[in-house]
Amino acid sequence: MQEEEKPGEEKMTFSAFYQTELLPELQELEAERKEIKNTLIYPTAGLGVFAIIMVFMLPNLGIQSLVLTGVTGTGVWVWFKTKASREFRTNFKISIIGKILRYINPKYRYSPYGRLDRNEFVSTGIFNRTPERYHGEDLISGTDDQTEFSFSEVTAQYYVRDQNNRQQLKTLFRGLIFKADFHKHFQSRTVILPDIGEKYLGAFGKALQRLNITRAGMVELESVEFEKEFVVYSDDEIEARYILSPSFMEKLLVCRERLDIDISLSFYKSNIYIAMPFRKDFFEPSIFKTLIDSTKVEEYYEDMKMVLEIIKELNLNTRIWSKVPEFEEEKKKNNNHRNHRRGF
Amino acid sequence: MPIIGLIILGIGGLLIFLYNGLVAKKNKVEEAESDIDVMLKKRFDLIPNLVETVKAYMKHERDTLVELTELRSQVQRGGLTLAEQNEVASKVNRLGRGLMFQVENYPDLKASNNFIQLQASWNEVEEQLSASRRNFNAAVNSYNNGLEQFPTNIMANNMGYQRKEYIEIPEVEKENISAKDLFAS
Repeated sequence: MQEEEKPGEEKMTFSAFYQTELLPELQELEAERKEIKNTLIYPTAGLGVFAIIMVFMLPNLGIQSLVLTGVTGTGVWVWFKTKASREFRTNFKISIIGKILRYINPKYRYSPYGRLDRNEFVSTGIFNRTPERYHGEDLISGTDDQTEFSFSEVTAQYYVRDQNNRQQLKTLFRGLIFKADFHKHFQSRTVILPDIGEKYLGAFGKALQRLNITRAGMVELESVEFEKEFVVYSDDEIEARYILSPSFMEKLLVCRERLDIDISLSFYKSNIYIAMPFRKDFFEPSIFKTLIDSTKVEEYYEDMKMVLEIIKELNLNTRIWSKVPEFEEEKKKNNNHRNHRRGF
Repeated sequence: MPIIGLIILGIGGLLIFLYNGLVAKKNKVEEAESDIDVMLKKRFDLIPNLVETVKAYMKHERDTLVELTELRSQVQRGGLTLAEQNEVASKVNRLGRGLMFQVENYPDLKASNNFIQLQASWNEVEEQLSASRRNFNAAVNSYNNGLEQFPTNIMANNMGYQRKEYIEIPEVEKENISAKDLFAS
């Protein structure tokens, strides 16, 4: 992964890097953080007093209006907090998160407000719905040996109407989406989902999955263990088996076990996409806790490594199939073209 | 009376459903078989390409090249069953891999663009062939289950359906072109 290193030049340990490179910056940011925390004292106190008054007036107002003002109050407070800390967050992300990433590999790029494209998210076919609200941040991208990759946080939501015909926002996906150039060439779309049906309902669950008309044909694979964990849908059964060779299935199982979450995958347009649901908000500084905390900083580093590890784990750098030369050329041309259109 | 009519209709519907399912399974096996055929052809068609690319360089592997060409013409003459073709393909794979490994002794060849591309397609076809074989076995498995499970077994018996054989899948694709494997073979 660190092919950029010069021979003979030892890479410093992360704790040494923390001491020399990160600590000075963290100290500066810490001062900024304290200032922001202080500016938040007044709105916090004001809202606190307001809350106490509301509690005293509870017998007159009833519980419903108390809840309503509670929600509004929290909203106002969050608004204050976000407004006050926006610049601080950006500074933190660029200097600390960006630096940690460059420590891993100086050629990797980080854009705090970048994300996986919404259309691409839809085109993976992992999700049955089109999200009505879509946002994301913390886009990390680069090329590891021969594999181009990127990942970002994504939150996708949609509206449903409840019994009272009120609109409700539901979460379709929240977590990280990893995308990489897959080492085999294929034309179809193959989607791998966590196998909930078969795990709990056995053969009956499998029969239900087969009837799932919203998905392309189900592909039954020969690995019992893989079948227990995942269900595979594809437009082309042979291509699905070409992608999911026995050794690749084993690697996916190892990867799933390490991440220890219900991952979903998609193979589409020469890419592999891995959706990893997480509740956690990644790469965020806290306003109310000190920044000078080496374990917290190490956590950012470990989170990045957790995702980057996938490339090695799935052996994506093994380029022994014919996808290598001419196809890459073509892809590069397309990318350049696209970037130009975006005004890069 | 309408109830009896409904029951008869239901049973009739179920029979049609089961019958069609069985036929679909049989057809799927045949389809999978022809898919293997396509991949086998792709595999054998790479032989002349391989021979052409390496013959100028590899003076000492002439025997292998002759053998490869012979294997191809054997297939082209036709009349081989799928199992026999598969066996020939395995032999071709083994010889091809041997050659690819020998290339270490021929630096000029190893560096040539033609050869690099050929090697990649060789690997690709091999893995695609393996995928189509696995697909065939999955189809056979589903078909054989239909033949043995109740109640389709009675139907299959009347239709004269026979169990189909799985084909052997050589354990080659686990780690593609690893030096250790090649020494062993």
